[in-house]
Amino acid sequence: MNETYMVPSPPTPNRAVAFDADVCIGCNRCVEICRSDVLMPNPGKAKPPIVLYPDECWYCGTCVLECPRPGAITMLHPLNQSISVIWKRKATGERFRLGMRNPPPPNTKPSAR
Amino acid sequence: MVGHGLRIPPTYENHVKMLAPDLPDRISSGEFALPLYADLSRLPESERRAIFGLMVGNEGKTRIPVYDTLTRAGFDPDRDMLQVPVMHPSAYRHANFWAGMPVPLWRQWGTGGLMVDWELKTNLDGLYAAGGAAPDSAIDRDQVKREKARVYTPLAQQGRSIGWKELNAGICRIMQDYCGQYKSKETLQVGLRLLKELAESDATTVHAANPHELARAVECLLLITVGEAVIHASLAREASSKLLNFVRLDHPAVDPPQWQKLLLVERVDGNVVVDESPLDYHLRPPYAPTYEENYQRYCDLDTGEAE
Repeated sequence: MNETYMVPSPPTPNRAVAFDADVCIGCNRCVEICRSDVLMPNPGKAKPPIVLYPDECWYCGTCVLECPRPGAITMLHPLNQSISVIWKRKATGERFRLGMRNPPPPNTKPSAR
Repeated sequence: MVGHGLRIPPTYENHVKMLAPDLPDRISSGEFALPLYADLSRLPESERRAIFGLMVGNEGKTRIPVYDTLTRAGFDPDRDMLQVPVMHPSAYRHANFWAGMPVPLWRQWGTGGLMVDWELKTNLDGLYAAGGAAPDSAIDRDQVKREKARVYTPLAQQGRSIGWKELNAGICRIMQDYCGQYKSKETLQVGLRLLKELAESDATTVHAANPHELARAVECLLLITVGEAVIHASLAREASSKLLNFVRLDHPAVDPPQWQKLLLVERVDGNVVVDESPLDYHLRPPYAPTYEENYQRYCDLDTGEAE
């Protein structure tokens, strides 16, 4: 008997990555690019990969970068990180936080790329 | 101490000292109030775009997790200042403090707890610090119904949610960063605001798959309230204390006589009310002036007299 099984790691406090099954086409490019092998192909055809080892995620974002379908993959930054990503608007003194309930509109100015 | 386990090459250390050699001292003395901010808006636009747009926006590990995440969340380096992690003041000696330095998170436990009388009764009628509610206490059936609905909510979460461990870690992060070893009015107020935000956002999505997780999830929701009480109490005590292992950067005087008292934090009609009490309140009227008399009066102890 030479069968091999993939066994998930013990669950982490957070999920690391989320897939939108309606957008993802199951191309598995994210699986290929992930440097930590967090993701595994889904046995079902054209289905989102399985987040099998979320505790190995570096949050490098290469899975999102490689994805040909914008919005298919979302990085879920751990709450204990996002809770302290804070910025203050100089003119008004308003404070904002990553993951806040009513965030300001996205900054759509093009980056210097 | 701060930086424990981190080796800074001497030349690097010297270079850093040229930048802001006395920054930790100036934070400790209260000249600079934490948290500090990175203000890119004061840079020439070309430099700002080079740093945030070109460097952060194109380096492999920052393109998605930093640049995309922040701009999507509304951060605008032209007009916003990014907050630096709040840490022990000595951690700001190192140039890479931006990333957050490893600091000891555990502190010696101070004092504090529930205010009770000689019968261990709290300020809520019928609620005792040991033993639960008295059987004759008035039960508000509507409140019980509301509490049941609140407590069982994590079992019925739909959509994107978080587990109790993630919520617990988020609460810990707030308390460690903003109500840690060194406190100031500014950091405490930020902590209070973040706990409120947490309660209104991520905490409302906490899920539980079974009674075990439910107990932990509900405990986390209570921890938010406990954290708020601790921060309110810390804000109210405008003095440092050796006995309490309590350091206020903005109130460095240690154990001044006028602060030798208990501070009582109470929620009344949704508002926080701070009152005070002498340290020996339990030996003042309406109680007896000695421990012996109080134990005899409230604990049914044998007086020693022959029957």
